[in-house]
Amino acid sequence: MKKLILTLLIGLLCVSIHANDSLTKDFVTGNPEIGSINAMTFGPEGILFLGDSKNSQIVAVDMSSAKKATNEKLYLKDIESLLGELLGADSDQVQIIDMVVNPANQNIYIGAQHSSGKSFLFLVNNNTLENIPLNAVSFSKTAVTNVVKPDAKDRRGRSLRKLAITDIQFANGRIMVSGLNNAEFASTFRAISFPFTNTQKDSSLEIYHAAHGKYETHAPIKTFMTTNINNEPHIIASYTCTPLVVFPMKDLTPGEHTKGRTVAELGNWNTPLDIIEMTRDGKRYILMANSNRALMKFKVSDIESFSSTLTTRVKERAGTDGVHFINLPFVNVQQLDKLNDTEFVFIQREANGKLVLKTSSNRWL
Amino acid sequence: MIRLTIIVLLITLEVYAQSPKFSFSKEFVKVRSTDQKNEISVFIGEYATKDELTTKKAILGNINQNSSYLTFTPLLPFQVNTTYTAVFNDDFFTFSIPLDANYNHLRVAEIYPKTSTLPSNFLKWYISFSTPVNPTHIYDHIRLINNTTKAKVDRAVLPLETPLLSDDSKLLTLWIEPGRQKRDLGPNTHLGEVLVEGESYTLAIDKNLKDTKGVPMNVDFKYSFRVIESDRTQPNIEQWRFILPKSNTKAPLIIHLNDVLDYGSLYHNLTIINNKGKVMDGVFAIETNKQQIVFTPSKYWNSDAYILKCNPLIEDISGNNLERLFDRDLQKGSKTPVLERKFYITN
Repeated sequence: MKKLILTLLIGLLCVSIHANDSLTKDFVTGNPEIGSINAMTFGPEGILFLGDSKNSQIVAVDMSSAKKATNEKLYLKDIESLLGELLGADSDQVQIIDMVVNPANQNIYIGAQHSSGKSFLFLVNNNTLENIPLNAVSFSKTAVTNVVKPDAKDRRGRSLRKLAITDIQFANGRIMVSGLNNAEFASTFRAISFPFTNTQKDSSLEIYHAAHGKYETHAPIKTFMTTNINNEPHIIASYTCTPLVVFPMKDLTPGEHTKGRTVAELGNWNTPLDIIEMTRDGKRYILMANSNRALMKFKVSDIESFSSTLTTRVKERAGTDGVHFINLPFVNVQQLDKLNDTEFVFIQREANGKLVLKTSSNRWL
Repeated sequence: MIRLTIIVLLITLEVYAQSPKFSFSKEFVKVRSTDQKNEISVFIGEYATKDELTTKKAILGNINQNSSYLTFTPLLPFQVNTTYTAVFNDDFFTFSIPLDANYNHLRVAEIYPKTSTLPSNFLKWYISFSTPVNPTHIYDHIRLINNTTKAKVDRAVLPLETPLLSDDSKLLTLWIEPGRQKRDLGPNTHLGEVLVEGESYTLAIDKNLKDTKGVPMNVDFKYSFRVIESDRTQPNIEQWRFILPKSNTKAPLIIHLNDVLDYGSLYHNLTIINNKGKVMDGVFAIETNKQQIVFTPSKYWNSDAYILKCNPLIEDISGNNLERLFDRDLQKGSKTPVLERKFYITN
């Protein structure tokens, strides 16, 4: 799902800067020992970044030489049954974790997890799913350090505290990682330089949320994207507690108490799932998938002109406030990504209960 | 066409009942064959003809041929209590891995906190399972029920795409919907906190929740509690009561917490320092349901002064930590937290 958006813009910048210095020059071939696939995003040069909570690492895999899938008409009518058949498991033992498109060739990849904890990467090809083994690939990786020391174990010798990676994005030569911690109600947000180096220092931020300027709490980020707002690189983040918040990337200083500017409250009983950016007729739009709301469409220009932070309370039950948005006629969209300049691809739970992969054109923008 | 159905009676064997031609285990199916061109496909479900398989996808796996056998190894081990069909040329072999009669079913071993009352701004539970739990669709099996109306409380628990599970997949962190627990956010303003003061509720986990092998719990889990007023007081370690061991022993140090604290936040966030400034080697047992921590040293206590050091992230069950309240009123200042307690061990 994870958003391409600025990745493309920044990717172009990186290409110009590193024209003779490929980002994959330090990659090695072998088994990156991926424990779990929790979040995925593509960077430039066909590099797929995988967030691996189980082994607390970010793995960059070179997918530039991967074959282009044949997807003349994209439609998978029942992905859960298909995964169950391919893995020989009951469909309730398998879960789709993420979907991402390689902007270089429009290949669609799906990360799925079996209840045993084993993760799989699939390529959507010929309207079925093709397993992509990750045990012999060209890769580079870096550890995402947890907030606790690795030697911290309980009396049974198990490590209790765990960072769950919720989203990753590539922008400005850095991979950004949001995560939830199972022991503290807080968000960890890290920016790690890429290509990875042995001596790198990742930036770790504390993210807070101020409700109407009155109360301030830690704010776990559920999903985020990067884009330019008023010509400045920004992060647009959605919290588990519904607000849509923007941060200027230049304000993200390690160790700082960082507070986002709330630009919208998106209603009760809702968890944001994915955000992407699309363009039509030169205008930029943000599409956001939600657990309990339709697909929302925002104009980037509305976010740019919304210069204040929300200071008044939302009046109606399940009301929303802030930047204006439109509900598109797509409900229960669970995964979302930009397929190409005119289409987006999504995975939707239909009324019959089936999980379906399909595409839509930008005529809705 | 030959159709063979294999019924397994001897369940203790690792490789199951054989026909002269076909054998199977959780990890593979094997067919006696010397023909290098033969192929084997395995499907989930019971099938007898190729017509039934036209819309089915074969299980992904690897095929190996040696001089006598063709072996199929699936990407994932075969599930128990599930019927599979192996197709080899025109032969169909139906097989199933039985569940061990002495199988230890998944159960809830403990839940933290497990008190008879909880504050209305309560934030999270930790559910400890006896064996690794299946994280997929886990929230479909967890409900909060209002004991008066007997109705499920809508959107009480936050569903995450990747549930917060410990590395051994046995400890699940369950968050109460944070949008409703944070003061002044839309959901909190319109709907109030999830838990209403004076009401009583039951946290229910249904018996269909499966372990990582696909085997369900078989027994429902229920825990009931009554809701009391919100807790907007920071925990204070100066109120902790120390029951001191004697010197020259390895007896445990027991610390009464005088509060219901968050189970997870106490892990790895406590250290005991000796008078040389070194961290004492030992084990902390976090017993928040008894409102205590027990530290058992690996070496003898000296007659000396020691310091208990606490991480400011230690919090109570409403998310108030040693440093700040969960939702801090920005108009009010904050004070420097107390993070150390000194104690003396004597004869």
